[in-house]
Amino acid sequence: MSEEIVSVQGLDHTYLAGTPLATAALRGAELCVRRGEVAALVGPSGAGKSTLAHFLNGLLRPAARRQVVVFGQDTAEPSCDLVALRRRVGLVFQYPHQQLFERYVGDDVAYGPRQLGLAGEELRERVRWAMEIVGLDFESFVDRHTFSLSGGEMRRAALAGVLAMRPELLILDESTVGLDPRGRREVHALLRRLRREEGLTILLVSNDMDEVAELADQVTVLYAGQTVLAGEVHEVLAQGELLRRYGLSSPTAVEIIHELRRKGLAVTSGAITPYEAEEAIWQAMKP
Amino acid sequence: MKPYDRAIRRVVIAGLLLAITLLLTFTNVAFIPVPTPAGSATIGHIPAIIGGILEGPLVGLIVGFGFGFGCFMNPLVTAVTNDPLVIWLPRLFIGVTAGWTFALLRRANRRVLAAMLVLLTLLVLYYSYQVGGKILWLGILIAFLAGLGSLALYNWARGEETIVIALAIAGAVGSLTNTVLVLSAAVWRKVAGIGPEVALGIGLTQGIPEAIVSAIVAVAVVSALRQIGKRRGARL
Amino acid sequence: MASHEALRHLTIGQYIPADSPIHRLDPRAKLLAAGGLIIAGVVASKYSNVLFLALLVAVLVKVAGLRLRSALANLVPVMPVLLVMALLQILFYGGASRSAGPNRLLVEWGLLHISAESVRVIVVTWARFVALFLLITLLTSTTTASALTRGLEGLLRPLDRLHLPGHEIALVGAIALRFLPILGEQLEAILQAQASRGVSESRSRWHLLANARRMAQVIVPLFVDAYHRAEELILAMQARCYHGGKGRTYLIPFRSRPADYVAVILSISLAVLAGVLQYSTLP
Repeated sequence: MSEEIVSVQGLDHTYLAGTPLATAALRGAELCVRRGEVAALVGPSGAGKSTLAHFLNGLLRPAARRQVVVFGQDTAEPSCDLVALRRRVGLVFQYPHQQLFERYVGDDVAYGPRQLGLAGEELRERVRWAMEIVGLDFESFVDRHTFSLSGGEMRRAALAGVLAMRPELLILDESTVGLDPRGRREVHALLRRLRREEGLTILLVSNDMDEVAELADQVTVLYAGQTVLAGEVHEVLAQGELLRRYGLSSPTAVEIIHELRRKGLAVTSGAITPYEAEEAIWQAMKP
Repeated sequence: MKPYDRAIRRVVIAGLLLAITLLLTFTNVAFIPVPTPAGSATIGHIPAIIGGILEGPLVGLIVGFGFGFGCFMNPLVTAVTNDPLVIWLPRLFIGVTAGWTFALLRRANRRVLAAMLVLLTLLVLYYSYQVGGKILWLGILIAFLAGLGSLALYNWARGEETIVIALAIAGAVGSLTNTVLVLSAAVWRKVAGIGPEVALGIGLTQGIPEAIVSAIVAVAVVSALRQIGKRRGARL
Repeated sequence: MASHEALRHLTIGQYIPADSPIHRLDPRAKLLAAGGLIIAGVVASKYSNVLFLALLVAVLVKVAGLRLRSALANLVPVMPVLLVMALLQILFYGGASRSAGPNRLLVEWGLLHISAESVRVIVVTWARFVALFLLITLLTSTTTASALTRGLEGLLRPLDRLHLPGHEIALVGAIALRFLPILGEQLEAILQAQASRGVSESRSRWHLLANARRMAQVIVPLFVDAYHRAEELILAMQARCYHGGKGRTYLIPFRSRPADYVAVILSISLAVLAGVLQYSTLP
């Protein structure tokens, strides 16, 4: 059993606490992520997923101790070093234009490493590595204006900026929304590669159940600020009824198999990706 | 461009700059720490400066008016005084003076600019001579600081394009307009025991850092928006 | 509270929906009434009319169904400033004399000279501040921001006939209000994104240049984003052949009701009354 690098237990958070507009964003939320795995945090809009993600790199701090522990550090402790934490936990935001703020692509990717103290040739190499790994050719993109990039290029640049800090945990907050299928496939391939080659642990915050089915090892479901389901990905995603109740759809593969079974084909359930579904259907159709 | 298009442009940009002004005025972001007794300088007047520089004195006037309104609605400001002649009226001119200054200086001869710097230094030295007549050490200190400041400015200006210098001066002028007019109005309207000497003190200690900050931010913002600047790529 | 959460705490009054006679008034009437009372408040400097105005506003707040206590709670962050101002005025309001008359000396304690005059100034300043604050809170709590801008535009309509850009000015306000929350979110996102990438939080006052540069790093993307949105909006307006306020009508037009006229006349009269008190012989 590998090391637990994120442990969230009983986390509460209230937006605008103390004002007439106070609302409870999180109520006893729980999350656990192990090193080297791909975890997914799913839930309908407004469930508090992004809020929870913001606790993991210290943007938000819990009001009480022992609620959020990341890399062995309790973020509620005043002595917790947030700068070091943010080096190890990379958070990629949903909209790239909110994340990019330098005029030139190279500068934006270099921002993080520069804060960490890198300079000169070392800095340049780090930026080159980060840009190449997300598929942005260094020479052609380093001097481009960030605001002249296309949406997909901006996304990659934002990801490069976070990867340039060499984090151990990468959190992607709905980062593939609006990408075309090819773009999404490329991001998935990239994530798999990062996990394989760099040993990166990944937390996907997403509503896209197909994406979760493809990539994740374990899934946590957040609903109205509470963790309502958690477990291995096949277990959780197969529970169509329950997911629907929490405002989530099932992966396409699950729904297809469900329909086929309803129509009388004896397909074994449990497949969650198109690949697995193809196998199961093939098995069921063999004479 | 059809005649009404210019009006649309001015209205929309004034509106957005006004939004930024209100945002800055009503949140803590508008204050940055400076080495003065008050501890922080305001940057809420910067959108007005930018408006004046980029779109002309009229837009600067409108955004300045909005800044005045924002100050008027802000309890932190009105606790000191809620006299609109002090809080609101002076702000109108921030964008106007910045805009005029920029328009005047953007194509100026560099020799003219150098002459201006020399003139300014001489003025300050004369002032320090006056002060030194009464308080010797203070006069010497001011002269010393003025000398250092001038050298630093000259050094910086030598390596910069004229337009950047014009931007910096315009930013500083806009900020100083704010400081001078507000303090003068405060003295005129006899606000809370602020006499001429106190006003001058506040003006120097608060106004100069604010002017420096305004110059830096004005240059940064306008160079980003108008692609000015020698750098054509990342500094890697 | 992290620095990037500050954005959620705007200090200006929030709209509180309710159904009071004041909520139902036409926004133009409310603007005129508030304007008259604000002018009266700014001019006021004697006990009688300041207290009169303060009471008046308190009554209005009650009529609007607002809770006085929560409105006053917004003043808490300003308390330190008020106290310092009061202190300054006690200490520096010069000219106390030992004879009777408006400037007579009340208390003498070492270096402290408190004259009747300085007491008056302090009380008047406090009362006026509270009155004005409540008045503005009253206005913003009973009128939505868009109603306010529409009211402003309605009031500026007559300027169109004089070939002055009344409509355009009101539009500037409407656009600003429209984009305020959007830019606020953008600013918050910028702060969060920069924080996530390790910007250090030290805000020492002596590093003027460093602080200025860091401020620029936050402000510049905000301006760039605002300008992009501006360009889009300009294009959209041109595409719709927007040509100004002439001849424009509203989907939901203003309807003045008797109550509106009554409100305006009443408040203007009360403001005038306050003005009269100012120049009367009352203290």
